[in-house]
Amino acid sequence: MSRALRNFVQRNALLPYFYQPKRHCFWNPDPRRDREDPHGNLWHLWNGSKIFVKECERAADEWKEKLHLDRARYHLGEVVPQYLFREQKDRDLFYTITDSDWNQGFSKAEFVGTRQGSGLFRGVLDTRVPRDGVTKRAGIAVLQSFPKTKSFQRKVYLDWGDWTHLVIRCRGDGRHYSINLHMCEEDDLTMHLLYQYPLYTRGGPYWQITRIPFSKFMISYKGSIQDKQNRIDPRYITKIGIALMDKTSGPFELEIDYIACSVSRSDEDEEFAYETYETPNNYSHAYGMK
Amino acid sequence: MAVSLWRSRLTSLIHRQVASATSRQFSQRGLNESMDADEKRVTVTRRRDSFAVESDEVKDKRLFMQMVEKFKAANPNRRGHIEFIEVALKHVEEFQVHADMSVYKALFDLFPRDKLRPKNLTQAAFVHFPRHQDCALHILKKMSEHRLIPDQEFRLMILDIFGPETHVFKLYCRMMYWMPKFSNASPYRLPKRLPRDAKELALLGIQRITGVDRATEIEVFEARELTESLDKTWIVSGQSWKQRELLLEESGKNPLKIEGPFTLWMKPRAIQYFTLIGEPRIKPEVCIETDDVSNLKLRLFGEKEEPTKDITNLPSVHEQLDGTVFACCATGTSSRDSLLSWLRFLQRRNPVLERLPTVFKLRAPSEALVNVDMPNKSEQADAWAEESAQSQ
Repeated sequence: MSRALRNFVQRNALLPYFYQPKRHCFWNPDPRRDREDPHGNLWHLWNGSKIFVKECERAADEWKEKLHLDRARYHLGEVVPQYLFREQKDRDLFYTITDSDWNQGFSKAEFVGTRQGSGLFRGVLDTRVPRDGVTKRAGIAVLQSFPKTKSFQRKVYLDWGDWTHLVIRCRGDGRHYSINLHMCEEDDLTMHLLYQYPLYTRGGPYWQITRIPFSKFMISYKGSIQDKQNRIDPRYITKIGIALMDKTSGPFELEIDYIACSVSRSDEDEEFAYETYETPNNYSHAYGMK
Repeated sequence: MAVSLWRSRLTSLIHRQVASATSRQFSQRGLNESMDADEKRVTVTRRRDSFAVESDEVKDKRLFMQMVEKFKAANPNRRGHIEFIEVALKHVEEFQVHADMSVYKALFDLFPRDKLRPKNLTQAAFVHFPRHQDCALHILKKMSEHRLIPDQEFRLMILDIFGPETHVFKLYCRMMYWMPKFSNASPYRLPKRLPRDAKELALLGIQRITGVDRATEIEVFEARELTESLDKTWIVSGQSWKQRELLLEESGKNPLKIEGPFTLWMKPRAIQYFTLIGEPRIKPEVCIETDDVSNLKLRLFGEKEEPTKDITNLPSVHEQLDGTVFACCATGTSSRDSLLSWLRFLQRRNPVLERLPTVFKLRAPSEALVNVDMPNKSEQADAWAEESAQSQ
């Protein structure tokens, strides 16, 4: 066997230990491929030239940062905000979705700023089911971030692999919300995969700081928790969302100061909070019972 | 006699064919024309919803169980039990029995024993009695919707009726794995049965809000003790000694605010609460010039640094970044007058409040509070606008 071939084989054998495979299962077409373009090429040239200089500056900054080889270092337990909602441009990174957007319900929600410089996610949850004969349950309102981009509007992962905890400083109304971490953006088998954990709020005038370890997030597909669980890989998070779906009609308010990440001692952490043992082959469910 | 019997049989046969083959346009024209008259006699009867009670009887567990018993007596071989269960599940909330395990057990008990268990591997592999399994899954789904964790008796019942190799038992296992994990996960726990009385509920809510400070004393006032009060209602108020100390430090330069009403949800109920809030405390900003080397002390030779004067007390939990919380309350009417009574009650233990200016900052009822079953929301909003205009 030639040396090159041996290297190739060895590298491929070791690949799973060094690289996390991408969550894509097969080739994906560009999601914008079949969409009709309402504007002509001239329009794109003119509007693209406006942001071109800005995007070039961004690219230059990114390369400077890359060549500088000096990554930020943080102390143990330090809380580093990833999303602050002090200004309007920070709040514009998030948008709201409700079931009324698809005519599948009557909930309404909005994300606005407050006087003290925080984001307020508020609206009315409505569990009435539209009479279309198909919908069975209704009542959901989601606050969700746009995917992160780098220069020239290229999408990137959030890359939170260094962190162990998600920290949220919020002031709620006593309802239970759900924190959703999206792993995939495009149309794929993994499109509806979510990592979720509930966010309990106390309610009242006092702020609360909630620390959730990434090991506690559980995987769900289209909202139903899966039997086979695995730990989230925070490197490949694309979007973060906060959802309200607690089957109770009425107004809601969740004031968020920041969404942050934190790192704690690794030996205190558990790898994964739920059981991951595999059943042996040819194992019939509940075999030999009764 | 014989002719009429034959004819009735034929008509029933043809009715069946007409019902099954209308879409295929199955031709019946070859048969004699007298059938046309019979076809017109075909009537469609709706299945009767046995839970739609039209009398004045109270819809409660007793009546619900009575319906189940009536079904059992009328159908000794349990014909139509799937339809009955699915109708019953729709009315569970209406009869206020959605949190009662015995009701679900009674419904589950309608399935026949030993009939639905797969007898061999092939039956188990292809879903055995799928309609019955779906129905049982609906019961379990309904229970999980209302956070009801099935018990050992339920497990035995499922094993008796469906056996272990079915979707029903799988879902049961899933529920028993996940639901106990999250049933007590909330750090802000509530009792399983919330009180129906508004005053008791408000007491629970204020306890929950003021849970940040363990020293909080919760008092219940009756406004009729005050001769000046107009609304003779109750007031639940929470304040700790630390908040009283903070009030003493107030100068009165900035007025205190009574803000509200805010909503506190204790699912599925909600209360409205108000807060007495002041301006945020300005903390001394500590600036250390790390590049300043003009005044370094040589600790190796016994020189000591001068004690810094920047030391302050740690801020208490009531000193939030956007305001200082002095007290919070819930009243029976949430009216302006009841809040005034609350302020008067607070003055008994906080005499400083008599000289501090206090402003009411009350929110108008928002459109968010519209009754969700209201057909026309704009009409309701208009009515409220009129009401608020009159009250002002």
